[in-house]
Amino acid sequence: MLNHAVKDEFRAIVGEERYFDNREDLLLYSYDAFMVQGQPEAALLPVSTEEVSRIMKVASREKIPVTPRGAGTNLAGGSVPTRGGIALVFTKMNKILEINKVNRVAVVQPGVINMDFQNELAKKGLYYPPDPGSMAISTMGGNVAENAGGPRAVKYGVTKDYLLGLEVVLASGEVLRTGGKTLKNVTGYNLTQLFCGSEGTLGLITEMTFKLIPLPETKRTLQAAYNNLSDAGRTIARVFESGILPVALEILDKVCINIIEDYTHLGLPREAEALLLIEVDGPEAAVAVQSERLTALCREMGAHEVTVAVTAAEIDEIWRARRSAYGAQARLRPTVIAEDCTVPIGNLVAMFQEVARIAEKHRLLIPVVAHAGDGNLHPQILTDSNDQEEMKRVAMAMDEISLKAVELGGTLTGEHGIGIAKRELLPVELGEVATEITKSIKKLFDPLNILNPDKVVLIA
Amino acid sequence: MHPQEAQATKAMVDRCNKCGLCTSACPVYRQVLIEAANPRGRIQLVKNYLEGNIPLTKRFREIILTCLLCENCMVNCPSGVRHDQVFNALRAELVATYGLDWKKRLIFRLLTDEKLLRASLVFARLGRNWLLEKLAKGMRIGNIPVGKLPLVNPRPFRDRFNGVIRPDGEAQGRVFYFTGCFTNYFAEDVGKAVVNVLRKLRVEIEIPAAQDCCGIAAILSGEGDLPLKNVQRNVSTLSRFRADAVLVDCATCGAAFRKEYPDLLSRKGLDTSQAEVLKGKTRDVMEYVAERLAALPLSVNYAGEKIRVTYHDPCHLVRAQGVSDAPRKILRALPQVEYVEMEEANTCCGGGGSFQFDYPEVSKGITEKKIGHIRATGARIVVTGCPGCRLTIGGNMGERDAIAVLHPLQLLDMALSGDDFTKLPFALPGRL
Repeated sequence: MLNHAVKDEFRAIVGEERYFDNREDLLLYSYDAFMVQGQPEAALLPVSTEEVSRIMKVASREKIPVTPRGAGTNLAGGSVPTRGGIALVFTKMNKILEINKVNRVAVVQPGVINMDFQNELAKKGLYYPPDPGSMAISTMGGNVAENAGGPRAVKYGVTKDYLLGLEVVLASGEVLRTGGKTLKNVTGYNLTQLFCGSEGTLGLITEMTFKLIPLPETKRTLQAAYNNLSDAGRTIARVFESGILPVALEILDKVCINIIEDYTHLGLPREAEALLLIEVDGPEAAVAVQSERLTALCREMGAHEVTVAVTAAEIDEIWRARRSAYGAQARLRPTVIAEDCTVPIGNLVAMFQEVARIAEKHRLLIPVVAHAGDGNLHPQILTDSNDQEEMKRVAMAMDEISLKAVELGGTLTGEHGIGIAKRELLPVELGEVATEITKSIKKLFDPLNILNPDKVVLIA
Repeated sequence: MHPQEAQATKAMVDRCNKCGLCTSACPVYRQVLIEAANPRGRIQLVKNYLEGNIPLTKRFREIILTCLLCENCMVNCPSGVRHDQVFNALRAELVATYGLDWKKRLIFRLLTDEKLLRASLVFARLGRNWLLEKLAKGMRIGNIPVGKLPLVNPRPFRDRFNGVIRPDGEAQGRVFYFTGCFTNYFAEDVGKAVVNVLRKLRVEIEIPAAQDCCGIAAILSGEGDLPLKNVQRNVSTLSRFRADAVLVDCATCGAAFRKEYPDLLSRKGLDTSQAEVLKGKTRDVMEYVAERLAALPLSVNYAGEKIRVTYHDPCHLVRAQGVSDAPRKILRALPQVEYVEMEEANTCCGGGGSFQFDYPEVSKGITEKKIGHIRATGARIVVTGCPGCRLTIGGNMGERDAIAVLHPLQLLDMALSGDDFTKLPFALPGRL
């Protein structure tokens, strides 16, 4: 419990305007995009590293749990306070501190929104590829804490592949700096990457340095329809064998195609068992050749319909189907739970079949969209959180899907994080040794267990 | 709240998955960056209220009202949450609990009584001129200097233009022109432009002298009873009118007829059949004209200099009525105009009716962004189909911005006279 004196101390650090402990605002910091909720006792919105450090000094002294938060779009409950304490909200710490075209780096504060960052870079002909589905609003601090991915991961990788350095406030309030502004840096342990994907459990990111690349000249997008899911699966394998590295390679299953078509009337082939979307980028001459070769390849593998989009408007039209997937599904039932298992690309079709089997077994509707190019599946469980009986079946299906992915050589989560959602399953994938090491690292950085407690790894 | 309405509202808020995609689209959130300013936050608060977890506190009220009702959240919601219905229902609930402040009560009382409105504006005209010259040069209402408020028409527009205005020769169509309060009392230039253009289209226009305010300001504030009389009168007269269309020159009146009237009547459990007829007949004058552009004698061999123009999409046109192509089609057809699209043309200007007076600090930041986008185009004229937006944009424009703020039909009207726009003395908002 936060007593009055401590509340006053926090209020004095950030000021009246950026401090909340009234009922309404606390309720508003009790959730993210996952279904579990929990209220903080105070919400603080710092604007500087110094404020964050002062807050942590008080929090350590008083052993107050601190839950960091960006835009609150986490799909695994990572930004939900489970033990009261403080919600530490970084949305107002949102300055782009530097964009350097010669060094090809940018330095930003954690509250900068991914899309705003991308737009600023594009003005200078620069590119930061990671594009999580929440990019229009999610913050760079959150992106690093979750090691966010996105469709472009196939060619460009994920957040960690662009992270060069960090400034982190530790649980004690001390300020740690890692990495730097150079591509090469092997001085000491790679602490930068340790914090990337640590979900706010090891420290609070207050500044990030990213590597940038030049903005690609142009792109082309293909849509290929298949009567047979395994033909689509074989196409994915052949694409990679062919030596072409697409920017994105997405797959939609039959259930999903039909749900999207019901909602959008885009004219998608309802009878198709699978739809592949493939995007290539680069110099004009290269993408023209690549898209021709990919068209031939898709047909050879059994696609009965292949469309190539060239203009920005045509490309946008093709991606509309994929972008509409979540909305179309969300309208069918009140609650959507976005699963995130990932398997080696060779096992993608097998995983699709397992999800269909699990859905049937538990009498659930689970359409699947997947970033096929990196083996990351998003089975979307459509349900109603008010229906207790169904939610029991949902919980079983969620666990079975995650465990099956691990069994097929994959992982529990590709880009959404462990958070609250999968913390009990963590040891299954990590095994005993890695679980113990993980706990030791957590205890080293956060001996009092006050940094986003109850997330990722459970400390007894 | 009616049990039925509460149930419908609850079902609506239950659709929210808290994904947060509405957040990026909310101009208020982008300005203040706290969850209380987030559409998702407001929906979650309403959900907790309906579940009995939280009462209608003062802070609750403030959170619900710190919203421009721009509906950008709704367009970006993958789950199909109708934020407008939820927020309207809550605003009504808040008025039932807290009442309205005296200023709003007074204004709505005036707006719902045409005689009273007319009489008070005669005084307002005298008062405003006197105030301006003697006293109020430095005064502001919200962020708008009093000197930039629009002048009251010397005579109400409908005193001069009323009854049936027949075109020369055979009529090519017949329309009812609902002038709205703003054209009638403040913007006679817009009214004249509308009449001129329609006459050149050889359309027969009927303008009854007696028209009632659409009442939308009161409706959107949650005061549904006061304007009900206006709503019912407008619905019954306008829906029976035999014409191709009921034309409006004001985005907000259009939004009232096409969206808020059926919603309000069904919320009150009243018959909506006539309101549906009116909804079907209502067109923004820009839509009506854009469809008939070919019939207008626009000079194709204009050789003068072009003037750069940009267009701002009012929330009540682009989202409430789905009108965005028509004004652009008109502007691109004008030989004197070089049309340039501004960045984020369809983002709210920050006015939001009384929002700019209730929350001037938040409003100011949003309006400054909008004006920044306008400046970046290098346009000499910004046009928009909403008097509220023109007031907000014009009123917040800097003294050195030589950018005129007009209705698109004013430009069309001038273009039809073949004038060189660069030589016209536009009334700039920076001038008294």
